[in-house]
Amino acid sequence: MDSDKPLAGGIPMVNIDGAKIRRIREEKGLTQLYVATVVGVTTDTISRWENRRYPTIKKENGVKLAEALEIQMTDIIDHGQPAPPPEPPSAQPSEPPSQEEPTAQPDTAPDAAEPVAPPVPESAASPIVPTLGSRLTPRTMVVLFRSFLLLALAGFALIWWYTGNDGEGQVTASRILPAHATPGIPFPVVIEVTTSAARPFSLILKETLPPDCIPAQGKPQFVNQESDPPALKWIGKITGEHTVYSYLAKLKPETKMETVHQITGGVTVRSDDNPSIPVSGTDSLQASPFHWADRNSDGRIDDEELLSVYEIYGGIEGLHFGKKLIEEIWSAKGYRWNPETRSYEILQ
Amino acid sequence: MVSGQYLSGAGQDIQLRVTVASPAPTTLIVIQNLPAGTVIESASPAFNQYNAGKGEVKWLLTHVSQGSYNLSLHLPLPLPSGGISGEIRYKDPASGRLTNLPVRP
Repeated sequence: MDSDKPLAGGIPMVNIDGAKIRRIREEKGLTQLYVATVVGVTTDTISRWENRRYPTIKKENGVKLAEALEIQMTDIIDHGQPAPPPEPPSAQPSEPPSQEEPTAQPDTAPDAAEPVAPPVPESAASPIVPTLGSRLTPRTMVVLFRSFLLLALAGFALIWWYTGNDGEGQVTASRILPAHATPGIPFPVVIEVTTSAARPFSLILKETLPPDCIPAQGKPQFVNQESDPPALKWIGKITGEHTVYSYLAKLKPETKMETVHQITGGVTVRSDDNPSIPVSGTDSLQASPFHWADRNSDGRIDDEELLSVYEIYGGIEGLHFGKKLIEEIWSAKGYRWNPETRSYEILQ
Repeated sequence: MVSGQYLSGAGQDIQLRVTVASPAPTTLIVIQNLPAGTVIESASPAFNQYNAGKGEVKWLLTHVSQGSYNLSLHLPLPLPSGGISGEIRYKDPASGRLTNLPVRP
């Protein structure tokens, strides 16, 4: 079986091992929702992939799937091993297998080469055992053993879920966004994720920007960026009580002054079945001729406003939020926006 | 957590020592008030603002950590004692409130 093959349309495809994906996902305590969010598909799709034996999926999705499971893609690819022994009927998917999937042999098919167990005298055993023993072929016993093993694993997973699921504790996310910003001038956004978690865990943070907003730099860098509307996504591991995500964005230069723009966001925790924890805090921004650091819009940046800027954004290494301009305005008597040059004039 | 002390508060050299203890604010603004119209010959470190009309000098100290910071001015003419005052402004790390700490020679 070819595990990396293009379709007629030229899209690279891969065969993946559905059962292995489910096993790894459950072992790592990841929900289908988490994996689906990382890959960018629905939970139904993930379920379909897991329930089929060797589904064929786009290689691009295979890469994202491996990323979500925190493994290498080669770990989940079916490399063309012969078909494993058939599963009991209850473990089979309800939908018909695709052409790429191997054809399962019926459980009841007798194997001529298999040895037949010799009959046991009735006096040497209970009345039931010899009857069962004579019916159970080694192949059926293997199937029964595997079913038992699966049940045991499911039990273990359930126990782990109930005893270890409090790892994330309570998760909250809060956004700090300036009340206003000038179109074309970058403004910073900070999202602080707080948790009472006892151990590290993975999460996805997603920010959806208004259509008139252009995302720029991210700290840490966001991993995905869509266009309409702009959306930023971080996949991260929370290791401490507070984790800060930040980014720069700007309103399009042609944005009309005084218009209000909304930012929404949510956090998806890897072993939480809730759809998403909304990001609280400030979520609206007004287009204004005043600099975002000039909080009271009085045409100057005073000491308190400068200290606030450094308090909130100064500690974020590498976030270029325009410190030099802010200090320049603070040192001067004031500033004003020049709509012709689309820049601030510093008043000395 | 933040304190200020004049090492020299009169004459041609004005020296102010700012001491920061834990928990340290990230940024400080140190203000030195001189008599209006005072001429400054040099400063160490260089100040960020000087309003000669008000006699107000401002330093911005960023990435502050625990320790001492010496700020000094050299003037061409000596100042009499009692003619100056200082102020340290910062955001309290615990409450986030603006704190104004006056410093006298």
